[in-house]
Amino acid sequence: MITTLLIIHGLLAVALLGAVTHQALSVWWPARAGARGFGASFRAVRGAAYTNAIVALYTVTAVVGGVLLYPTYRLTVRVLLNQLRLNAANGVFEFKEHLVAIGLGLLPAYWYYWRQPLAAEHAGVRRALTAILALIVWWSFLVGHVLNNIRGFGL
Amino acid sequence: MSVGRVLPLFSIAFAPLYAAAMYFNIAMFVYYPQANELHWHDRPDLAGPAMYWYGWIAYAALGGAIVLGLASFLPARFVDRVALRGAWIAPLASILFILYVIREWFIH
Repeated sequence: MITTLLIIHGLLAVALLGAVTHQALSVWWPARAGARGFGASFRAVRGAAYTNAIVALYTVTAVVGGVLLYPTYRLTVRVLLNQLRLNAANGVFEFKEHLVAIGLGLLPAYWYYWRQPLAAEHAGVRRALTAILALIVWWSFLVGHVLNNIRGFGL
Repeated sequence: MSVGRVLPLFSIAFAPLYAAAMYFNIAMFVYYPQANELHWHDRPDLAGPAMYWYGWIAYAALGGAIVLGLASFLPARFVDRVALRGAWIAPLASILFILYVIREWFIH
């Protein structure tokens, strides 16, 4: 059951990672008009179209990870990390748990400033909030992946 | 003033409240995963680790909701001005504070 949830959590995280990366690049490094190729196409999305999906994916991913998986992590994985004296591994996960919580609190502001029609005077705060959210999602994804490699499946 | 307009103030309040809750360990409730029990206070007699994370989030969410309610009485122009910068500065500052607080994990 835990392995199934872990895979679902991972798949949701991949979808979230893609959506938030598209959006972040579209505001920080927008594609030039008429530009072609994979990189330009990746950045040439309408960022606002991703907002609701990002809010929903972030919330569901956080609930699956934080409510359904986290207790098992505390009882099995963290104990192992302590026994192996992998303090940095414990630390990066601690940071992930705090980042995810702050990201949850960030969502109302993020959603508000990405409402359509987009207000031009909110472009700066939109960029900043999207960058913070993207940082949180990337950190959480990478840390979750690395820690899963340490402990593996079959909890 | 519409609820939507004051939403950023929830985020502005949430992040530092969460950081404070974590730093001072003020949790609304405590979860004991091994016993699968929730308690309002620490229960050292219960087996296994205590999880405060949910309680910190609940505390910050409650504080954010209170700020949201109070902010709806403030002038719209003031709310807009505070929210425009605070919406990203408060979470970013809170993240840096948390990183400083947990630095021990990476030093030792």
